[in-house]
Amino acid sequence: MTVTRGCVLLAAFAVIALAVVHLRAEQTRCASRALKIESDCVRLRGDLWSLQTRMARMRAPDRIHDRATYLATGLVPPGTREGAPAGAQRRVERLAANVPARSGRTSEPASVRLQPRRKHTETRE
Amino acid sequence: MTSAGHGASVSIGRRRSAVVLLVALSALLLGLGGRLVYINVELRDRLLARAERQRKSSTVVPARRGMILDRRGRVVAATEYMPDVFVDPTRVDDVDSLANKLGPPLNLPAERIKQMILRRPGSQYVLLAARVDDVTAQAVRAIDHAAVGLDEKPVRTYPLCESMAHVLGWVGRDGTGMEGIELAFDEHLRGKDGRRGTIRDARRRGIMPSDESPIPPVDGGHVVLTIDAELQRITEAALTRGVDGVKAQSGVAVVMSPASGDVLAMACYPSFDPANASQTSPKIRRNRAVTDPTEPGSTFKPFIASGALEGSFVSLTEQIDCHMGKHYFGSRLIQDVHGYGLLDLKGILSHSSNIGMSTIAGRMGNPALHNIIRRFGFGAKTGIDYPGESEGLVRPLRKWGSLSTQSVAMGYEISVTPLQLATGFSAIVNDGVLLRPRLVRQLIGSDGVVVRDSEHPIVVDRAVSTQTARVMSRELLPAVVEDGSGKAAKLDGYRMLGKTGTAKLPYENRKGYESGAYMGAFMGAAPLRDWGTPELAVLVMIRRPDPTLGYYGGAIAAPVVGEILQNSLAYLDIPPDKESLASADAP
Repeated sequence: MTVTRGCVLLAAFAVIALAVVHLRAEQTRCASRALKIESDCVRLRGDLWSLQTRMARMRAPDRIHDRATYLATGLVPPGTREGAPAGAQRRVERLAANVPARSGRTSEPASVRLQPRRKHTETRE
Repeated sequence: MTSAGHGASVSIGRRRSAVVLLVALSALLLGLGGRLVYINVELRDRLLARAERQRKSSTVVPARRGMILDRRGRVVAATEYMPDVFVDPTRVDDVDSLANKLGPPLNLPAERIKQMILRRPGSQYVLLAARVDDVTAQAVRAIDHAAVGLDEKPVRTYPLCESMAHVLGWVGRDGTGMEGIELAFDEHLRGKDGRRGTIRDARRRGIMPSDESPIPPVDGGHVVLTIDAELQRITEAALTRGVDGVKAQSGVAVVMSPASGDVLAMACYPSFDPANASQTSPKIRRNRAVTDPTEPGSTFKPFIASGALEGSFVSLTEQIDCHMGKHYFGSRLIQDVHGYGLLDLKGILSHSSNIGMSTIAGRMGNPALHNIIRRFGFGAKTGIDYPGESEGLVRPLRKWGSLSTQSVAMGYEISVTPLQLATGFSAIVNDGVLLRPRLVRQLIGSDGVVVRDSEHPIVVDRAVSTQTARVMSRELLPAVVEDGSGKAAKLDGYRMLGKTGTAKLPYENRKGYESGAYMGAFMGAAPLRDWGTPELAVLVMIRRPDPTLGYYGGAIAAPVVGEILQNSLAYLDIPPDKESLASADAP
């Protein structure tokens, strides 16, 4: 009876010990995974910054201007008068004839519009 | 007896040996016990700290310095990771082989790399190349050598390269703003680095996060400028052509929205690369539009004329004798470039007559002159969000001499910054209301919440009445471009107004004016309509041109202003005047 009880107790201790070891190992694995995710997060932050910078470089007016000129698509960007108005003149003519802008080109949003500032004018006067 | 005595002596000897051994063992145990106590009591804290240091490490999670954006959301300054390439000399077996492998990707001679490694053999970190690009970093990774590492660091980058450099300023290697917007808004842009702890194994590999709770990084806020990168490009391109065309020393251009006070473009030429600013001399890095006052020459006449009209010192129809280009005011001879007889105020401005303007200034007297100058904001900082702004030089009235009246009327004895001049001119264009120029439109927190919004114009003062300002901007100054000294600025499809100016430059180290050294300037605004304020006001100053190629403001600066306005108005989709187009098309 005593021997049997002792064996059962030993077995129970062994199972508990194994469970503790297993849980501890699992905890370490999870912690390690968390560490890796944290590292990935930092790396992805860096990648995001790099991509944003790369996108900003591609959106740089100089680069767009050079690309449009290089591709010779006929979509001469505005602001090309050098001595005589070339692309700008065509644009002026188009505007004078009240031809609407191409659908692809959005005009400046109201939030960044330079004019009018009716409220301010009223205050001044 | 003998054997018994022998046995007893052996036993005594053994016992003695045992005692000696016991004593020795006891002493040893005592020593060990003492050492144990010493380690556990005396060395405990030090050893625990050492173990902690070996087991745990703390990593800095860098915060991102905020972005600077133009008024349409284009990123003009950002932060990205760029790696430094380093070598650990203690882990190098074959220096020659490693140097030969690293040479081509780093674009460095193998011999130089070898020297760098051998110079510090005991060190574990020898920097070979800083801030390498993606291609180089990949090539170095491909070498896959245990002694070679890449240390990624956040670096400030400027996607538009040299464009807008003087406005943006630059940051030092430690990420602190040194000049320009980077300095002015350093506190807002700078973030706060985070920190996280890691438990490492014997080989320093990360196993798990430590128990300490990590501190997340707080990214810096963003700054939205009033500048439009495309208008900036247009301005810089025109200014570069204008300065190079006359082999001038430098040039400055400011484009403003007169109705809001927004600075839409601000360019200085020559420019510099803000990413490598430390390699450029401080003289070139200075934003001369804001920091360098200069005598404005005839571009100052519209302000004096406004004061004269406002105080009824002259009428629009009055004919003033310009003495055919030569006249003595007291003992001082004043000359015009071309001789004119009788001119009205419009003629005086359009031909930029020094004699005519000096006559009017004489009527006004020094107090009225000083008053109108101050009302246009000269002699005081404009209050723009930019560090190091100069207030120019307007001497106190009591220090004005008998010659000051004529000198000031011609734009001498007074110094103004290009920004002050553009702001004052914008006030004339804007119905006489002087606005504070703005470079920053919004401050945005890292969470996207707008911290500060400068949507509404900030009125500083009313410089002159609406009536006077309208007479100036709609009757007098358009004549400068239509029939006067500023014809070179004339636009296709738009009416405009403007004023030319040419000033002699003083010696830097002594009194007097340098022979053959000039500053040619032109300020203009367009489109001029019967209603509303012109959308754009532009000032261009070109310093020290080659006199043989031209130096008058109407010849060297007016075409630049014309080019900037023509291209900018087209870019902004501002429709041209049909009348102007019709008159241009007429045979």
